[in-house]
Amino acid sequence: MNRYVEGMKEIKADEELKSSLIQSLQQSRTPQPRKKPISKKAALPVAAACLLVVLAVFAASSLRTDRGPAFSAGLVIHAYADDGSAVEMKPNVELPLGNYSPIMSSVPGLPLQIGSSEADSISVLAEHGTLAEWSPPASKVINKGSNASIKPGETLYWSPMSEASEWEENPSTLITVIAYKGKKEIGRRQIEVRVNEDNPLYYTGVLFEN
Amino acid sequence: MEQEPNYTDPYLAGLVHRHADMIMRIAYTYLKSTADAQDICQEVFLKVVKHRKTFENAEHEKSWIIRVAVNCCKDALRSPWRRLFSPFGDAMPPIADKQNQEVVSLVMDLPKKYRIVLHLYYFEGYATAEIAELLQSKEATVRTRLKRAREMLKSNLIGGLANE
Repeated sequence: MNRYVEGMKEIKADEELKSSLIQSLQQSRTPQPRKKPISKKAALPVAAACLLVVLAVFAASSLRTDRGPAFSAGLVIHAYADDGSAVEMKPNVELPLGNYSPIMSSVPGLPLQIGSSEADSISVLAEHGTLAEWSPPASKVINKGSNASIKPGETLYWSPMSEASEWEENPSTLITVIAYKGKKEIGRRQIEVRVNEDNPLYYTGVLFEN
Repeated sequence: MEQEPNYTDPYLAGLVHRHADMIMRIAYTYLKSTADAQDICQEVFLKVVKHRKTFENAEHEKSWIIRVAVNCCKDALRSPWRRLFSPFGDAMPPIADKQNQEVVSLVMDLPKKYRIVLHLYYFEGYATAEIAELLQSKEATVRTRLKRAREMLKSNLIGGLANE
């Protein structure tokens, strides 16, 4: 078994991986700053202000008479949970997006499948991180940067890594999905991807209907 | 060994340098994929930091990390996420020497329950009783698997490469 031992010695973590591991461990070890509790004295005016804002928004939305049809263009977004199952994202419902680590080179990011019954092209913009196209079993990952255009039904991958392959520490990022028919925008939605505070490998997503 | 309850930067760097290679090899033994082994490496270290485990000595640290690595690999193999998005391993182990590569490939062709026992015994130098503890198995089972693995390897190896 000497040849086995000699061969296995070549399977090791390279220096780049080790540096990346150390960096991510140092980041994950840093405790999240505690939110300063609001004192009881300040709580009442804050609550009153919040109530006023909510009432103002509610009143403004009730007074609107020019409300058009839902601006969704039949957009249907599927995310993949940790067990690999595809789940349709519903507006304002937080959904676990499964796990992804920045050095997980076997998967180029968190997959999002975006379909639309009406659009003929879909533009996706990521506030942070990068977007990529990938069709297994082909190993080639096409990096799209922060802006990608896909056909309805295609899957796009979002990664928290920057274009320079550097870890971007953002607790959340907004992904904007815009549906086009020809050159005309017919629908728009936003997904907020949040890092799980307890386990930075896990993400959740919320879909917002614009 | 000095206890490191604060998980300082030097301690974390030392932890990675002490164990990253070992985790890579154990994960490769299970998953046969360099990319997946890198994922397991990250997951294991994050778990160590999350648990803030204080180790009694170097051997305690090593065996705890091996157990976590083994469990992470088993979870990864069960994960439908992995089956869906990462169904393929490396075509051949990333080893330069052809003969060494062939022998490692032969070991990798064995069922995983034999591969990990062989690896812990021959590469990490653990005794069968220690392997049984690490894998939460019976020593007799480890011995049987080791014997069976040797027999299967011998029947596959050409030219007496098994020089044990």
